Amino acid sequence: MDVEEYLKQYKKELESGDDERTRYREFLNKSRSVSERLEGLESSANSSDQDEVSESINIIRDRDEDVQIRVTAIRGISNEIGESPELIDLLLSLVRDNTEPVALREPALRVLQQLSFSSVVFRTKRPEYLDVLRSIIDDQDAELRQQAIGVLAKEKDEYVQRRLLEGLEDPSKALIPPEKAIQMLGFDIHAEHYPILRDMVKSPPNPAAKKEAVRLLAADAASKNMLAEILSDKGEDKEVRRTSAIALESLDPAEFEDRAKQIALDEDESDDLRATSLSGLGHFSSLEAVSIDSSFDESVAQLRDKTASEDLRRAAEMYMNRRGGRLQSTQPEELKSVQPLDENQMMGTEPVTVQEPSPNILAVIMGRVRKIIEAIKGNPKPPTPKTPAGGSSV
Amino acid sequence: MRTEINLNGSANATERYISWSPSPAQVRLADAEGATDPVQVRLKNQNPGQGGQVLFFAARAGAGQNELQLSLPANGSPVDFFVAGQFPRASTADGDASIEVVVEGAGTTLSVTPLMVRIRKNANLLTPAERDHFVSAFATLNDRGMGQFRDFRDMHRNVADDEEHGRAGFLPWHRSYLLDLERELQRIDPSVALHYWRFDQAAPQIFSKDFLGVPDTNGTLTFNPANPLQFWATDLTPGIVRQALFNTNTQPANDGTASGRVINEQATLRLGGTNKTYRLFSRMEGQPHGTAHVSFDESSYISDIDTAPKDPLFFLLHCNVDRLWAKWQRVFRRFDPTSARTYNFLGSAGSPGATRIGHNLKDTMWPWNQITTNPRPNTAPGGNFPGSLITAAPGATPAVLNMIDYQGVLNPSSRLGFDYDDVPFQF
Repeated sequence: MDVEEYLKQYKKELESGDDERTRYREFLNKSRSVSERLEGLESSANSSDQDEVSESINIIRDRDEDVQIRVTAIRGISNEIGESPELIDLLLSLVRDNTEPVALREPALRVLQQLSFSSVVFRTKRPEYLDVLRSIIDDQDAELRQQAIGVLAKEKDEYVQRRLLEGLEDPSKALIPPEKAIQMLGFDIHAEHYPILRDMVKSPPNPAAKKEAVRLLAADAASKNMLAEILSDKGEDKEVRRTSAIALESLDPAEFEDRAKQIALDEDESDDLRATSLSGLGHFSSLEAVSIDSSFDESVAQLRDKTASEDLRRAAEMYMNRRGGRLQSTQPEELKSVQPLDENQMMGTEPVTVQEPSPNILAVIMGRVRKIIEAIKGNPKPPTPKTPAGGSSV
Repeated sequence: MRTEINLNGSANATERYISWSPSPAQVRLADAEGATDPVQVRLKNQNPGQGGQVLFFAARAGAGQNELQLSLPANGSPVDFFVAGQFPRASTADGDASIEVVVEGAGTTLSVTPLMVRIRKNANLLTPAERDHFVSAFATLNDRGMGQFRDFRDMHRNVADDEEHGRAGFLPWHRSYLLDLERELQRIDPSVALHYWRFDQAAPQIFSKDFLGVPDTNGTLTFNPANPLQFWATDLTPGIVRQALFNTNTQPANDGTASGRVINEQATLRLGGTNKTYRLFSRMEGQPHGTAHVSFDESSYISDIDTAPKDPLFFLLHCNVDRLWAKWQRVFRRFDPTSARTYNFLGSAGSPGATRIGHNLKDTMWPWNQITTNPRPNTAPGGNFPGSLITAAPGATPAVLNMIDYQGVLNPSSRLGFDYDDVPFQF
């Protein structure tokens, strides 16, 4: 491909492309119908023209204006809003005002969330922002409520955490569905949450809540037996069992390894759970523990060649790859490992015909050995292989 | 008779990774078999029809060629040349590109050197093998929440907001952050590059159980049982919460409301205005970058600065942000760090016209500078910037400056070792 021609063509397309400024000016034209004004504005361009900004502010404030027009105006000057404390206040007041339509308040809240990523001025308004969110967690609109609670939960807001726990203990006080409440408590999981999460597992209000509670008990040592029981229960929902496997792996890798090996080879088990077990063993078990169990490796190799389950076959394949094994599969595979080039061939010292890409098994194993050494030394990063260049002024 | 090729300063296979930007190379006669006169050789792609393809340069200038004729001294002295990936023909697997050295005229093969044209790609278009390598490396780096990924999670917290967002240094800081992560992924699997989520297009392959997951009814991601990302954990908790507000199979990122879609690539590149300035272009931090983040609901990790890196999609989102910057630089030739159009704060903190520390061209960037005194955050996770086997840049304590000429267009030693599938190199 001619790079010069490629760039020339690209630039030409860029310059002849749609003119966002023109479309926004047409949007501001009140003589046009709502649909005409909104046409072609699925994404808003940002205006910094002062007249356009002023006109947009008027639109935002105008309660008689169509809601979608007001929303589009907010988006159309979102950068300007992010640079102005007064305009951020305007948006905050819209969000707080329950006499304004939800179809306006929600997008306004999203634009504020967007500004949290990009606006330095927004940071000075953060306390007011959080106050506004707290003021709407009892809002009539469920989606707005949940939006506010989600942001506050991620802020680790203690008031919201209390309210969520209250709702789990007494459903009549629930602000949001229990599975969502559990999920949001997970942003800042505390030991004091674990008893209620265990209750949610034993007496779940619904399956989604149980699954979420199982997930979050991954750091609770007192839940280990419960998680192991769920994993062993062939009558349990398979997604809940998979979640318990993953939680148990996090809590007690050795316990997980023992059970995972049994499950992986148990033909009466679900293929999904067997594949999950192999995936965990293959990626995250210590090399020593698994490398001495050659009979298990042989069984996995046989499993890989015989199973009709694509997921189980792939999990077995990846397990063998990670263990540095050579694949002898008869099926075309995605991560096929072949006889690697020997050192002379890799060094280009003799003519070769390269048939397939060389594997990265050596790199993978060296990486894991390096990690083990680092863990022993307590060194988070290996030394840099090249001498650093360049200086710094500050 | 045989030849030996060095790439990136070494004969080791571990350094045989190139991008679109020319990499230094050498070829020499390793065994002249008694020859005393120079041997005329031709370097070429062994398999022009498949795999990554290479261009050859006798000197670091001009257009590369499909073949290169060189005269090799019989005494084994090396001859310098340069190689680069042939845009847009990237590798899809490690070693699928090969440099063949043949005797000029006779055509006898003297050596074949496999290498990889390793490129950051549109993640929605990866082969299954590329995807699986990427996912596996990422899961290994995370290691159930106990791996080195913790440093990357901790680098992007609210406490570091002033270092990373809302000011000019937003793009260079994140370029550095992504490159740090990519190098750590490459320590695990050198065939891996950090790919991008093209958020202004539908990306159904990314949002799949084989790749970055599909939410259950509660927004917690589910994966295929063979996908190691099912074991992903951060902050002692397994799992990822991500619920898109748009149809991930058919739509680009948007929040489901009127005018809530991310602006497309062309509109983004036009943000620089008539004079194509960085000051105006960097408004892309709001739209499309911020819009992409909040195209996911309030419970999603990615919709909040502090929790965003808990979701691997965050890195693909930012890789696209970086690609857009790279493309803008390429199209408008913004590599000269002495030009205010390339970057609008040219000095260092405290100098006339400077902005906050960390955002001026000559400022080093936290956390790699390991400075934890006010106004920097009081911790600096992750240590110095990691080195690379293929380039010495950007050094252990990169400055904003070191992120500008990432292809080494003006200064070869600035080459950072990555490129995008749709952003070529040009002198």
